[in-house]
Amino acid sequence: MIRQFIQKNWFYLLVLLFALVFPVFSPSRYVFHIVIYCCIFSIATLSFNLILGYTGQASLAHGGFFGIGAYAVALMTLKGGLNFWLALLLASLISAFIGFLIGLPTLRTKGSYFAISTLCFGVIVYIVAGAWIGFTGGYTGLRRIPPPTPITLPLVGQISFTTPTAQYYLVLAFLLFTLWAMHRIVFSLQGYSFIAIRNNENLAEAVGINTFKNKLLSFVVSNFFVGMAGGLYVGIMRTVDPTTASYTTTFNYLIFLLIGGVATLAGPVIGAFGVFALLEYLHALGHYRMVLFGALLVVVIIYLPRGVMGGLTTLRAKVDVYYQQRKDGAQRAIKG
Amino acid sequence: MYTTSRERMVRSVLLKAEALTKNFEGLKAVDAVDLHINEGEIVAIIGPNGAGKTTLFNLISGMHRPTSGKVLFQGEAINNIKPYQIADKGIKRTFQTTALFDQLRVLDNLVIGQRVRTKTGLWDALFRTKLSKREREESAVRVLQTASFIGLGNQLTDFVSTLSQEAQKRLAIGIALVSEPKLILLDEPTGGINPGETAGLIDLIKRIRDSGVTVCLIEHKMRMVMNMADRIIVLNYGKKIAEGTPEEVCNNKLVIQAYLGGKCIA
Repeated sequence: MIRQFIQKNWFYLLVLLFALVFPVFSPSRYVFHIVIYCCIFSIATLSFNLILGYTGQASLAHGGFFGIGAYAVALMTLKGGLNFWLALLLASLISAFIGFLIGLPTLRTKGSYFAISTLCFGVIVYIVAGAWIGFTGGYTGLRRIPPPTPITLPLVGQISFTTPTAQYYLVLAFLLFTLWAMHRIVFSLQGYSFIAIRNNENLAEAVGINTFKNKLLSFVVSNFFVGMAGGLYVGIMRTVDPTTASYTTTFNYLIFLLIGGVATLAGPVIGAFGVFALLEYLHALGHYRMVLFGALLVVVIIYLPRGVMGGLTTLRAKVDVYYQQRKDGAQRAIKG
Repeated sequence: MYTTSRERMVRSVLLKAEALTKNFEGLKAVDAVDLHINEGEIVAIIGPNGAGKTTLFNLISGMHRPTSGKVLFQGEAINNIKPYQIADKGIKRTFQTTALFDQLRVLDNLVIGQRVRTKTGLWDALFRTKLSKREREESAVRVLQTASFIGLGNQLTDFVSTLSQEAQKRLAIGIALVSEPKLILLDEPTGGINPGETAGLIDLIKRIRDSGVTVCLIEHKMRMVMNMADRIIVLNYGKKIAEGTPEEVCNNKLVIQAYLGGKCIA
């Protein structure tokens, strides 16, 4: 059974192994930081994928919920003096709960109306973050947020999460946790309900799926994970300002998701790493890189409607067919 | 014929509509229709285009709320509950334009059709509880049974888009059937299908009835209805104008005027 598992998943295991030993290559602080942010954005994009990719509801408040998670952790640790881990859990729950309250009215709308109403909420979060100076620090934001509370592990000793290596393992652990949770959800009967709603909401309702309840569940879970991503972001970044909660963040995740591959588990990770790394790599081009980027997006949407992952799946299917045909051809040749 | 009519006497009423009415801004799509469906029969609803047949289905399955009137299923009023609740009570339907989960495989479509009988939620999914494991297995068994019943046992992993029109119609019926409903509403099950393939679908519908599921269907193909239905209800301009066995309906003057164009085909 283990051998079968390895044979089937060798590629993913290889990637995991590489991710685990990554700090051994002693990358520069700059590269380390990019990778850490990519992990956080991967979590955000993965959660976006649950509501948008699997359930088919284009929530454009995702950046807002990322901000809610970030501000919640910042305020609880900075002003409330709370333990970071407790604050992170509470922030995720707060984000999920606000998602529940926002979902109640907005999920009664469909398609573009849902997109617009959630976009409005995202903008409201941004404005509140900027205007409520006494609470959120206004547009200058909050600074000197304490780093994650050190924890003591057996064998390893105390970890204080101030070195890039420790921060890297921290976000990697949360990324793996998110991937695990998404994998469990998506490949379950519960996941089938979400996919049914994306595919044909009327039919889903007719076959007995409570579409509203399931959409709300997907929205709440999605916002739990993006709130968590926001909280982690603050733990690493140690500052937060309204741009963190801005709707442009939502569109970043949307781009990561579209390029990586909607409704796949690897897609959001590929998208977040690939696109973010590419943006950093082309830093010298300044704002012109956005032009290049727009062109890339157009090409992907036209030629790879299901993103890089969709493209890879199609390619693999074609290769399989090609080998099968060759095999059949060879057998025919032998039989004469 | 004699035996079936006698059997019908002892059969209980499964679904009953009382003075069911639906107005669309002044247009009476369904106008004070009374009807009943007995357990274990095939009832056909016929009528010219725009007679209100599909609206009637939408009222029974909860897609529309009636303007007035009642729908009783096993004695319980169901005209004020949501479509998914009605499906849970054991009424499943298909749509006139074949509705499927068209990005998925045959297998997935049937699993989703069975979802109403499985209770796996988020926690069960996350922690792979005993419930989720058991339901997964039970669901798989039922899906395989249904797939072979509708004749798609060999195409389980095919994507819906690769199926023929006829196979898609079968799958649509399968999605409704997989959760073991008591009543199944088929909206033009043979619409857009050539005569050769229609025979197979008629056979399937008869086998559904024989397996103990009550069938109510909307149909245009008169020959098919006459061959298959135990009872026929005729609608015209939203009103019920006739009801009875195929022979009775065939000889009804009103029906001949409204629909059959002066001549009975059966």
